Amino acid sequence: MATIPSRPFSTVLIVTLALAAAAAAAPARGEEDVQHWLDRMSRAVEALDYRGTLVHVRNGQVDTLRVIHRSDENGVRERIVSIDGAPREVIRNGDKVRCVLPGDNPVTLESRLTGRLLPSLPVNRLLGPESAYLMSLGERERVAGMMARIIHIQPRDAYRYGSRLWLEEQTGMLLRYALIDHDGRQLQQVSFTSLELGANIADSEFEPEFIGREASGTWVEQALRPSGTSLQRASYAPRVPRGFRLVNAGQGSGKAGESFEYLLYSDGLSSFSIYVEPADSGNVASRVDAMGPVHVYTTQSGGRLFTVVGEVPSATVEFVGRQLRHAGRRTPQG
Amino acid sequence: MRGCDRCWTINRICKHMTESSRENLSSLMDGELDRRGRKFLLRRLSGDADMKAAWGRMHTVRACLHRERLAGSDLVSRVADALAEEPMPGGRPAQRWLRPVAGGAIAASVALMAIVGINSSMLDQQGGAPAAEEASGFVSRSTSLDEPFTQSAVPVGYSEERRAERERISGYVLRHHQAAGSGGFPAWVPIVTGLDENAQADQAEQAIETPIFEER
Repeated sequence: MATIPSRPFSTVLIVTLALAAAAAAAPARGEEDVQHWLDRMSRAVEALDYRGTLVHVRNGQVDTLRVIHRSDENGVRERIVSIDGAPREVIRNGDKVRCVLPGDNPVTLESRLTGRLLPSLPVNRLLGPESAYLMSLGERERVAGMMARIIHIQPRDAYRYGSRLWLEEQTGMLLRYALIDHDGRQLQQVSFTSLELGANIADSEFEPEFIGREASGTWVEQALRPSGTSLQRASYAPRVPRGFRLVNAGQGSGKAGESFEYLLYSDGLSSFSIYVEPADSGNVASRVDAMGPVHVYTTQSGGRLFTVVGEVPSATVEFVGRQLRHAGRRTPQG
Repeated sequence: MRGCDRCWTINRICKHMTESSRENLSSLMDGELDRRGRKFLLRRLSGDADMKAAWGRMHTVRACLHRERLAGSDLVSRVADALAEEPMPGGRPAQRWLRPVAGGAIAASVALMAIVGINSSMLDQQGGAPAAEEASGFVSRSTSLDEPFTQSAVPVGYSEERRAERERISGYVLRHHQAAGSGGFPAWVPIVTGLDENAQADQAEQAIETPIFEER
């Protein structure tokens, strides 16, 4: 008779375990849904034809842009033009890009886009407990007259930004995007105010509206030249915030032919680069520069000038920059 | 399981649709259509309510299938398959575990972000009339760690040195964006990301003097 109580107990145990397993699986399932939505978004944004008005808001500053996008057998064509503020225009035809930049002497820049060094998002690191982000499906909301599903991508610490995406329910098209910090504060938002999906777009709509002085041989052009994509052995290995991982390293050369070494780190969504170039010995003060949400830490140590750059919070570039600074002090003239 | 079978659901829902349309939609969803086919189908999709409904449901079904497969060990092989198809720069197997959530083509246009974000004063090649004051949107500050050494590193106002320094930093910002992409978000997100707060003020001043652009 002693076995009788143990039977229901084992049943209870199995049921409990099953429930626990189901509970554990639930968040993963939610994240998998998010993954699916993101997949749809990337296809929709590239493959659909659309014409819309986009508003960018940051620090109370509003910019309005017209976006025209077409994808056909000849590839992707896109024109983005500012309709208020400084005249700016970007025309993309396949991998060729023509930009008109604002300024005293407006500059036209033509460039060929090359493969990026960061291959992509590592799926397995964006999902699950190892991820630096919490992804979840949010509520529904109306944007630009369409029903959208909100995707929350929250950073798990203060070393990276997160985002919120509003995706159109039928197509997955991105209707609104917000960059948020760890506390959930919105740093900037880009949103369609009107959008015509599946629009018929004529070739003439891709004609440039603005003309600027042709720029060639400038440092901008120089900077856009590919630096090569080989993953070399990196001579620096600073400690970096959790979740970031070295995804590329190599060497490039600047305007005057001076060479620099670079290291590219990513956590799957956020990334930063370290650039190392020779410098006079001696220590100069370290500095943080900010261009919107992009932060740049510059420090000089041990005969090297280190520049840490990324669309990450100031804390991240400072963290890495200090590691480099201290390492440089320990091994002068490395 | 039966309810999640793709064909079963779609057959029921899309009784108006031809077999080939269904196949096409399915291919579109899986990203298997070539450009011409995709173009054609999307055009049709935009004008055909039945097809639109089917498209929406197919996504639901696929999400469902997706979940079922997740439970098994199939996920690993699916990811591996997806990776095998993905052309990688240099094609090094070491990076095969990486897969774009958002297509590589999207991220390719990222270089633009920094371009539009670059301030006019940084682009002034002649270095002629110096831009008034600090470049807009370009905020510099010392770190708390380095405060005692700060004075010399942050010159007041405009200087050739500072301009060169700004160029150096902007160059690296561009390089980084070129290399890293936008983290997978579509082209126009990064394009506007770098805009300066004060760019508008600069432009307002310029607008008073001369029209900057010829309009076509």
